[in-house]
Amino acid sequence: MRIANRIGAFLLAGALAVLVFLIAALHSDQQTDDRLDSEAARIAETADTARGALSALKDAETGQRGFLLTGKDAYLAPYNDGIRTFDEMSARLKQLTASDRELSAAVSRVMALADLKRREMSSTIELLRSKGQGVAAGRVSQDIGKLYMDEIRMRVDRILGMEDVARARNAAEAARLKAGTRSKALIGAAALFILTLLGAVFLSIEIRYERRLATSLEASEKKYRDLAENLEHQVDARTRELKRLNAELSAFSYSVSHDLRAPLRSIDGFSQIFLEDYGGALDEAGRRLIERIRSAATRMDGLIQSLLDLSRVTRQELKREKVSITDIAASSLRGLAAAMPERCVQTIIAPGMEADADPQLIRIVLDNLISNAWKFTSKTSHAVIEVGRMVCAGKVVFFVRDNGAGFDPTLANRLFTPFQRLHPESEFEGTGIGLVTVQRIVERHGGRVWAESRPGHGATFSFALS
Amino acid sequence: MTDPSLLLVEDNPDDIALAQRAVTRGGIRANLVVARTGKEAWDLLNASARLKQQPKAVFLDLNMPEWSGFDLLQRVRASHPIASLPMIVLTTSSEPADVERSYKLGANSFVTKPLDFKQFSDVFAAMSAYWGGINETI
Repeated sequence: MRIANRIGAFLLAGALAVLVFLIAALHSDQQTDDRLDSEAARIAETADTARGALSALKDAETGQRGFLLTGKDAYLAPYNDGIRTFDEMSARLKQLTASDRELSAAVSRVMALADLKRREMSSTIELLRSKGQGVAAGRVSQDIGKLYMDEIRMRVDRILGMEDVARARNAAEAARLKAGTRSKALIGAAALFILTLLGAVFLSIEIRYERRLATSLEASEKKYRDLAENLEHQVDARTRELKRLNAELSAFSYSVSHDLRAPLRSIDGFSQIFLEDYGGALDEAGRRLIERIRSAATRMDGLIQSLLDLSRVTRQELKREKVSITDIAASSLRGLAAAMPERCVQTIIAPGMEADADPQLIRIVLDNLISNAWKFTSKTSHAVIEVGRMVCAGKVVFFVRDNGAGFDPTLANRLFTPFQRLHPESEFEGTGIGLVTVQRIVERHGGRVWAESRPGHGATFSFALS
Repeated sequence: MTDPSLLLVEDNPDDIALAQRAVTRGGIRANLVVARTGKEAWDLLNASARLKQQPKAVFLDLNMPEWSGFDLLQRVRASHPIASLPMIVLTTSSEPADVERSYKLGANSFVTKPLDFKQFSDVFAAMSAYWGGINETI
């Protein structure tokens, strides 16, 4: 829609240009018109002045004739008036015609004739004064003055004719100008109207589009604001719900674990009492059956203990302090060695290992990893378990390494899933919860745990705390 | 002269039977008196205090109907004639929170009932000897 905006602006700019052009054209026409008007006035004045000059000259001639015929000075007054008026008029005429060469030439010629006429008149008047009426009348009867006068009149008529032509030309030009001005104004106004209208149309398209855009923008903004608000409420509600469920789940697992353990104790206890009291009456097979009942109960108890540990790890508040990994690892290995004195295991524990962690929880981590190593080296001839520390990419990493059974590395991700076991129970006993507990604890410390292995080449479990 | 007595506060009949067996098995020279709730134990203890025949030690479970082990502990420790009785918590729980609370309320020992009956017997005998001064002689 930006194109509509551009077209609209272009059209309005065009309209403006037309307006400027129109004003300029009309102004120029106005000036031409003024010029024609003043020209017409000049022509009219020239004609009037020429007529006036001729009439003044005639008045002077009438005065001269009267004086010549009567010899009375009273006739000299109109003569003098006529001459004075003629002088004024002819001076004005010269001014008026100065710009037109042809006209001024014609006027000069008339003036020259008029001078001859004036000289003739003044000389006849002088003649009368000096020689008397007879001589003067003789000069008049020669009628040179009339010849002059006729010539002057003819020439003035010619000037008037020239002026008529000029007047007609001027009028035609004025008419043409008027027509031109009118058509210019008409076309200009039409162009102005059309351009403005189209420009307005295009701009209104753009404006309407933008308004619609703004409205839809506002609507979608509101929609997202509502959505975000809604999402926040939902997150709050879900978090509350999750917390409640978590608390419920721990309470549930706690009570289930306890209620499950009591009957197990009964099963084991009474089996043992049964063996003590009636063992003698049973044959070897019968006693083995009872032992199997007891070992099943023991396994189940271990499982329940692991579940309890896991749930405790999740619930228990984290209390971090400086703990000695070296000491915990040593005590864990001592415990295992004491429980299974028949085992022969070489242990390597790096000295001075320390971490900022919850002592109870980090002990569960090390107990689990070390007892795993202990367990999976049970079939290794020269078992080695190493607990050490290294620095990887600026982070401290602790590891528990053994040379035991190892595992298929492609299954490594299943290690940390509850109840997942990579080895059959008959080979290595276990609950499948230990590593899940380890992972949960390490994650609660903001850390990460991972494992590397090859079957038959031992395993390395590493963890980093944050 | 009658044998000294031990008080067992326990609501689970199996555990009562196992405890009785532990007493005979370990040759513990004591009468095992059983109360099935905390309230019953409280009444028994008060009666025995009047008769001046107090038990040498009390084994008490935590999770019981009508007064829990905690309730009983609290009341005994606040009651003058029997306040100094040896009280041993004997429970299924191994929760650190339970351990801490028991000791805070004045328990002398906290024992998680072992699954293995032999261990259970041994612990019972050891506790009786240590807290009750009862020698396992036969």
